[in-house]
Amino acid sequence: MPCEMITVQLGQCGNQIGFEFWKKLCAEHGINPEGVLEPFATEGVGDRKDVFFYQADDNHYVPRAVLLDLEPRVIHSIMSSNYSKLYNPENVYLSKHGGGAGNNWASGFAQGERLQEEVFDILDREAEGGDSLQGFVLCHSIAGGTGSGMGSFILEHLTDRYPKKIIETYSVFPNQDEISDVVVQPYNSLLTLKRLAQSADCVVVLDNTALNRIATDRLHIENPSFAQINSLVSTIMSVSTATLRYPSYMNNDLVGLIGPLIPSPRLHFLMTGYTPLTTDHEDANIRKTTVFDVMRRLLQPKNMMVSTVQERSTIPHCYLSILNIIQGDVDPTQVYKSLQRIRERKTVNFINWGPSSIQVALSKKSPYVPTAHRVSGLMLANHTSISQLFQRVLDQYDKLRHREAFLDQFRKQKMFKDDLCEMDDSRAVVQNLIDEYLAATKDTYLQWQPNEST
Amino acid sequence: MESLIPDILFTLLGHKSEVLKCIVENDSMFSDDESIIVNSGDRQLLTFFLNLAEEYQKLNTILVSYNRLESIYKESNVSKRGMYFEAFVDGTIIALQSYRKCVTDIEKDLLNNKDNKCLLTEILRKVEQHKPLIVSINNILEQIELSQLHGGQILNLIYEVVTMTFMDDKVQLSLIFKQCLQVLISQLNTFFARGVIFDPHKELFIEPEYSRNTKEFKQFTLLPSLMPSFVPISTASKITRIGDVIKSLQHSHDQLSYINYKDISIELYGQKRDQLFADLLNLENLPMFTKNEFVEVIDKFYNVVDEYMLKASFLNDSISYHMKLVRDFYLLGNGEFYMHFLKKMCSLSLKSEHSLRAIKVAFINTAKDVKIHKSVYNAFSFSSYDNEKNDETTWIKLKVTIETKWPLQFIFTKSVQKNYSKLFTFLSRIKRVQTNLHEIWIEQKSKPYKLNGHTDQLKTKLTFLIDTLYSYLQLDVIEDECFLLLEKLSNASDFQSIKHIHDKFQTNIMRDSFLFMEDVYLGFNRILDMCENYCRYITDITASLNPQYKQCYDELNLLFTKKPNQLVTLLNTIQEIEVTPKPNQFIVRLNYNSWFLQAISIDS
Repeated sequence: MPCEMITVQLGQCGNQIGFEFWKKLCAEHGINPEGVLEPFATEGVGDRKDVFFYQADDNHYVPRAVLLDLEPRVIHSIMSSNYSKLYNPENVYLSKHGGGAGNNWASGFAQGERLQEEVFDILDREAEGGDSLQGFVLCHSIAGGTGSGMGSFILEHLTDRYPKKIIETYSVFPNQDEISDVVVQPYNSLLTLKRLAQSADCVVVLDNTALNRIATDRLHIENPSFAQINSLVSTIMSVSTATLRYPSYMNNDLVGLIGPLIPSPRLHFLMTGYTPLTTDHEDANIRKTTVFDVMRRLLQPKNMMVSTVQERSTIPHCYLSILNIIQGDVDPTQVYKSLQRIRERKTVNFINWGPSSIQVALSKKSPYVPTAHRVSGLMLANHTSISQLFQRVLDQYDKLRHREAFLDQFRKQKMFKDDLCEMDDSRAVVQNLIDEYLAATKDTYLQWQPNEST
Repeated sequence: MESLIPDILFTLLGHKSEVLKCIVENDSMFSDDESIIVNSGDRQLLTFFLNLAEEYQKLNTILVSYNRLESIYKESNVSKRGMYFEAFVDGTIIALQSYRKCVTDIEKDLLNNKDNKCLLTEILRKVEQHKPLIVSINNILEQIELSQLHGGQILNLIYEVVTMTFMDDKVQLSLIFKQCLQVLISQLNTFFARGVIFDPHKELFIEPEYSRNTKEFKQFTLLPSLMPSFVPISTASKITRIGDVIKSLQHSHDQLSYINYKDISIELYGQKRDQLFADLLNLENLPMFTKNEFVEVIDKFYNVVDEYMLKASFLNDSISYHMKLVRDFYLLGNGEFYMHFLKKMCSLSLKSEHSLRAIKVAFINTAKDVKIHKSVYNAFSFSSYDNEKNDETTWIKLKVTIETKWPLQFIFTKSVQKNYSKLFTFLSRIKRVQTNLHEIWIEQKSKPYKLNGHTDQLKTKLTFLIDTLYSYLQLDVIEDECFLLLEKLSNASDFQSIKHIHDKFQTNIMRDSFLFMEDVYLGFNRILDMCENYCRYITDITASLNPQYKQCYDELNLLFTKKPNQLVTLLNTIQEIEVTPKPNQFIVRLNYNSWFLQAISIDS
C-alpha cells in the first residue's frame, strides 16, 4: 500500500522532461526499458517501485504516467525509442488532428476543454487503479501552447475533481537569455502562472535561464542541448521524490514533504538547488564532499536553479522554508553540526513573522546508479526572491500588451473573443502573488491584505 | 604403670576407660591396687593422655554417628546436616588417619616386641604431635555447632581455618577442606554441564528460581550468606549467568518441555569442554588452593560461554537484524509502515482506550499491506502494563514485546523491552499528531482560499513545533545513536560489552527523548493531546460545536504568545537541562530563525 503518484506530462517540453524522468527512475529501481526487473534488482533494496509504477499481470512495471500532447513529434520519438514498451499505450493520448496548439495558450486551453472527456477518462482510470493515491505530478512548460494552455485547463479541473489530492507541478520557465521564437510567450506564461498560483498546491520552478547558465558556467558545456538540460531536470525530479521511493524514518509522504515548506497556501513556488554537479563525461576532478560542504553549497546562489538576483536587490528577500534532501554516505552526527555552523554564520535570511529552519531529510540512494560523490544534496526552498521571476513575466507581458501585439491569435478563441478580461485578471493574480511574496519579506506579513481593486 | 598402656591406647582410639579416669581422679577404688602404683608424675602423664583422648572422643562420637551403616537409620539427622557436613566428617576421618595409625603402630610395636621397654613419655610424645590437629578440628566442629553453620558456610569456615593456619597440621586440615571442596566442585560440574543444581539440603550459594515464565532467563539467584570467601561476588554472578545461558539454550532447543536437563556442554564449550571440566575437577588436587585458582577456572568457563554467545550474536547478522527490528518498529524507523498503521488507529490521546486485539489486527494488516515478511511482524506482540488479562489499554500503557533469537534475550530483557515500549508509545503519539496536522494542511487547501487565516497560522506553528520535535528525536537522537551503536558493535569483542553498548544506547536515547524527565515528558504529552483535540476541532463538524474543543483551540492559541503557558514552561525546563547537551539541539532547531523564543519569551 504505497502512496501513489500519477505523472501527467504535457506538451513537447513536459513529455521530454517526463521521458528523462522515467529513464532515471527505471535506472534507479533496476527496471529495464521494457519494464522488466533487471536480474540484479530482483532482491530489492527496500525501495518502493509502486509509488510511481504499478505491476501488470505479467509482473512487468508500468509507469503511472499519462502522456498528453496535441502534436505527435515528441510522443512519436518516445514511442519509437527502446522505452516504447514501458508505457501503457492506453495512457498515451495524442490529439487526433495532430496540429498542436500553435504555441498559443488559448488554443491549448480550448483544446483541453474540447478533449476533456477523453483525457479525464484516462486520468480517472489511472487514479482508480491506486489504493491510496497521494496526488498528481504535472510536467510542462509555461511558455508554449500545449503544456501551458492545456496544462492550465487540466490543472483547474484536477483540483476540482480531486480536492484532497496534492497537485504538484514541475513547471519549466523559459530561458530569458534567448530570444524565443514563441512571440506570445509572455501571454502564455502569465496565463499559466495564474493557474499555477490558484490551482496547484506546489510548483517546483525549473528555470531554463538558470539551468542553461549552470550548464555553461558550472558544467562547462557550450550551447547545452535539451537532453543535457533535461538530465539536470530529471535529477531534480528524481531526488525530490527519493524519500518517497526509498522510504525511511521520515518524509515518506508527499504532504509531509511539501506541507512544511508551504507555510502560507499561495506562497507555494519552490526553487531548487543541487550539488555537486557533474556531467556524465566529467568525473575527473572529484572533490571530497561532506554534509556540511553540501549544505553550505546548496545555499550559494550559483547553485540555485532559478535565476534571481539576490545580491543586487534592495528588497531583503528571505527564505520561508528550506528542505535539504541529502543522499549518500552520510554521518548523521554531522547534520546538526552543519546546521549549527550555518546558523552561526548568519548568512541565511529567514522570515521573521513565523518559525522557519532548514529541515534535513536523509535519503537512501539507488545502489544501481553509481555516483562519483560520497554525499550529494538537493535543496527545495521557498524563497521570496522567486517573485523576481514572476515580475519578469509581468514586465514582458506589460510590454507586449502595451503594444497590443499578437493579440489576434488569442481573440480567435472563445475565451478572448469578447474581451481580454482573462488576461487582466491573470495579471492581477500574478501581481498579487508578487505583492504577497514581497509582503512576506516584512514582519507585518500576517497583517497584509491584497490590493482591494484587484 | 606399663600395664596401663593397653588401656591408654584403647582410650586414645576413642573408647572410654573408667580405670584411667579413676586413677587420675585418685579414686579410692583403684588407689589401693598393688599392681598400679601411680606417682604424681605419672598421674600428670595420664592426665595428658586423657585430655587428648577426650578431644578425640568428641570427634569420634560424631564420626561414629556418621558411620555409613548408621546413617541409613538416621536419615533425619543426615538431612539436617547436609552434604558439606558429611564431607567434613569424611575429611576428618581421613585427616585423623595418621593419628590412628600412630596409636595402632604403638600397639603393634608393643605386641611384637614385648621385651622392648616402652616408655609412656615416649608414647605421649608420639601421640601429642597430633593434638593440635585434633584441637583445631574440634574448634571447627564447635563453631559449626555453635553458629549452626550450614553448607557453604562450613566450606567457608574450613577454608578460612586452612588459610589462616601456619602449623604443620595445615596439610591434614587441607584434606578436610578438599573433601568439602569436592562437594562444591561436583555441584558446579553438573551445573555447568546441564544447568542443574544438585542441592538437596539447600547448601549452595545459587538457588534456582521457579518462575512460570520460561521465556525470562533470569533463573538463578545468589544467596550471599552461603558464599565462601574464595568466591568473589563477580565470580558468583558469572556462575549464575552461565547457568542462565545454559537454561536458555536448552529452552531454545526444545521450547515445549518445561523441564529440560539436556547436557549441552559439547555445543556450548566445543572443543574446550574436556579441558575446562578437567581444570574444574583438578581444583581439589591443587596443593595450594586459593581464591585466584577458583576465579581463574570460572573465568575460563565464562569466557568460553561469552565467546559462544558473541559468535551466536553475530551469526547470520543476528544482532544487526534485531537492531534493525528495534529501529524499524520500536523506534518507528519504518516510517512508511507507521504512516499507514497510525492512520488505522484512532486517537492515541492519554485518555482514549484501545483494544489490544484491534492494535494487533491493525499491525498485521499494515504489515501485509506494505509487504513486510511474516517472520518480521510475528516477532512483535502487544499487551498492557495495566492488566495482563484485560483487552483494553491506554496507549501509554501499551507493552510491545519482541521475540528474540538466542542469546539476544540477554540483551533485550524484560526491562529493556519495557523501555522500548515507552519510547514507542511516545514516538508514535508524536507521529500520529504530525500526520493529523499534515491532514489539516490537505483539508484546508481543499477549501476556498483564505489569506492568512488564523487557523492557518496556528496550524503552521503547531506543525513546525511537532515536525521539529520529531526531526530532533529521529535524526539528532535516534539516528545519531544508531550510527554510533553500529560503529561500536563492530568493535565489540565480547558478549557482555555488546550488552553494555546496547544498554548505553538505550539509556542515551531515553535521556535525550526526555523520558527520564517526568515533567517534560508529561508536558509534551499534554501538548500532543491539545493538538489532537485541535485536529478534531478542525476536521470533525460535531467536535467543532463542542465547547470543550473550542476551549482547547483557545488554549493552543495561547501557546504562541508571551502570556505564561505550557509551552513556555516546557521550553524553559528543557533549556535548563544540563546533564546532556542534546536537548539544546531541539531548542536551536526550534529557534533556528530566532523567531520562536522571541515570540514566546516574556520581555523584560
